[in-house]
This record gives sequence, C-alpha cells and structure tokens, in this order.
Amino acid sequence: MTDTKTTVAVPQTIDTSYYSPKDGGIITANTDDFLNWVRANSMWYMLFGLACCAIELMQTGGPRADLDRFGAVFRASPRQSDLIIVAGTLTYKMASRVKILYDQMPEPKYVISMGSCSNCGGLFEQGYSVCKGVDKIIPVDVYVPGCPPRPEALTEGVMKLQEIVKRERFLRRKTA
Amino acid sequence: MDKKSLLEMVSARFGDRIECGPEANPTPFIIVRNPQKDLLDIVKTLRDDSGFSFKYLATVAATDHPPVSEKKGEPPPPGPGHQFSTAVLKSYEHGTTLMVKAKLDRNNPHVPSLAGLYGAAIWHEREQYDLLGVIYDGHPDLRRIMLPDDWTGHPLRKDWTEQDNYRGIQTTRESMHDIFARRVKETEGYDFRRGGSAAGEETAES
Repeated sequence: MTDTKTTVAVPQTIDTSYYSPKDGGIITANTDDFLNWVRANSMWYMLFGLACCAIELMQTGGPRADLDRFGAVFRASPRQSDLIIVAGTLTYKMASRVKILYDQMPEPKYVISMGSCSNCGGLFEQGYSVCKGVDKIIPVDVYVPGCPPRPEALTEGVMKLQEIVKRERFLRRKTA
Repeated sequence: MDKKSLLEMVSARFGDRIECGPEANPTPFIIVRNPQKDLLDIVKTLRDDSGFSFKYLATVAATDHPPVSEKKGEPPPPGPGHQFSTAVLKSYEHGTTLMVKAKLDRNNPHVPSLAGLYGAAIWHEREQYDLLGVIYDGHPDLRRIMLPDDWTGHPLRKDWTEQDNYRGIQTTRESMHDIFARRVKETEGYDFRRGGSAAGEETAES
C-alpha cells in the first residue's frame, strides 16, 4: 500500500485543488454549495412506515441496498429528521397523525411519497377511508412510483432529492 | 355431529322461538324470531348446555338489505328494509358451527349485545356499529373502532354516500388522463380526447 492518493466525491463547484489529506486539507467553496454538500449527504429520514411499502423501506435501509452509504440513516424522532418517507396507504385517520409528525420536523424538511397509494390513492382510489394522495396533506418533493417500489427505486428517489437539495440556495431560503 | 342432527337438536330445543335455515346451506343457521326477548337466552343455552357447548364466538357479522325491486323498472317494495346481525358460534367439543341471526328493522337496528356472554364480542360489535350502524344494547363501550370518531354515517350501508371532503381534505382526485388532456388543450389547443382542434374547428364529430 504505497499509493496514498485519496479521492473525495465533491460537487463540481467546490474547488478541491488545495485539498490534501496530508497537510490538514483546505477546501475553497462558496458557502451555499458547501452547506448543500453537507446537507445532501446527511439526509436523515424518519423511522415511519404505514403499510407494505414500509417493508421495502426497511430493505432499502438494510445491507443490500444500503441507504446508509448516502448518509441517510433513520431517526426514531421527527425532531431529528430532515426527511419523511411516506411509505404506504394513507387513511384519513392516519392523515392527521402524518400532519402532526410533519409539523414537528425542523426546517428545512423534505417529503418523499413512496408508492402508488401515497402518490394518488393507488389501488384504493375508490375506497371510502383512504386519502387520495399525501400531497393533499403536506407538500411532496419526490414521488416514487411502484407498488411497492423496489429498494433501487427508493434509492433513486433519495438521489433525486439530493440533487434538489444541492440546487437550493440554502442561506436565502424562505427569507420572504 | 353433522349439520342435520344439529339443526334437529336446536329446533327440538327452542321450538317456534327460532326459524331454522335450509339444510343445504354450507354453515347451518337459525334466525331468532324475537331477538329483543329471546336472543340472549338462546345464546346462553347454546353456550352452557353440554349438548351444544358453543363455547367459542368466532365472529359477529352484519349485513344490510334495503328494499330492492323484484324486476328491473318496478318500484321497490315499501318499508325501510332490514339488517341482519349474525353471531357465528363454534364448539370445540362437538366440532360444530352454528350461525345465530337476528333480523332487525333497518331504520332502528337495535339488538341485545352478546358482550356479557362472550368477551370477544366487544370488538366485533364495535366494528359492526362502526361500519353498518347496528346498535348493540347493553354493550359496555359502543364507540367507533376503525374509522375516526368524527366520521359521518356508516360506510357499508347501501345508501351511504361519500362526502366531498373530510376535514377539508378533498376526497376525489383528477385522473392522470384528464390532467394530461387538459394540459395539452391549454398549451397546444388540441383536444385529443375529441380527436380534433378545440378552438373553432368543429369538424368530424359535430
């Protein structure tokens, strides 16, 4: 092991020409890009599932799909979460609970709607007790189709969300 | 014990207080003629008598039967229709199953609760109250069990209609096809659902 060269995945806009692990390391970047880089790679999602999609959500967090490699780990409290993945059939009775959980999350917060049921009601579109889409309750950033989506699809959804986060002007967000 | 001898036994025991279902029915059933007066007594006997020993309540179900016209186009028969509340009893000792039905007035569906005889009836009867509106007299805790407490109506009744919103949440959703058609019409002026241009040119169909 003589080769000590290390590569670090950073966004294009961050200048890493000064980066060297040997002498402590310096990164020049603009503040927004740097913050977004940090935020996008630590999307902690809430430990929250509603139906069969939650099984796929568990698989995605498991060792094979391994959502942890994107810095996304689950937190068992909405107060520590950046992201809520609404995984499964949303009934009207549960809708008010989801709204409470969403309101308890600190800003900035993101929502992934996982599976047909939470996208639009899905299989239960004609049902009397099922809410026809979670976007009638809370704003959704990424919709993941499928019934249920495979772990790869949910991973793709998280990566799309990372792209959204990286495009944001975080320090100027919601100043109005 | 087979179905035939069970029905004979039950009918010999209770006489004209009940009406026996047809023997061809997969599960034998009896209909209690006057549930307000007799239901609890009959079920208690079925539970405690060693000849029956129906010690296990499998489920409590209910059905809704509004008046239906016999032929298409004819007006339905007068009256509010009826509901059935059905208790399914099982006996481990004899390996038998028996359904005990009570016919109720659809406008005022009161029936005595079995919760005093079988603890398992508490949740089953709450479910039937929630979805069909059957009122079990003497039930210790008759609340909704699955739907929210502020829900209006009982959704498995045939005449139940969905409200257009629940707590301000809209209960319908525009279909993807309609959204797509509307956007195409707005942006390009092409009504592809009608196979022609939306603006002015009423050509083929009109």
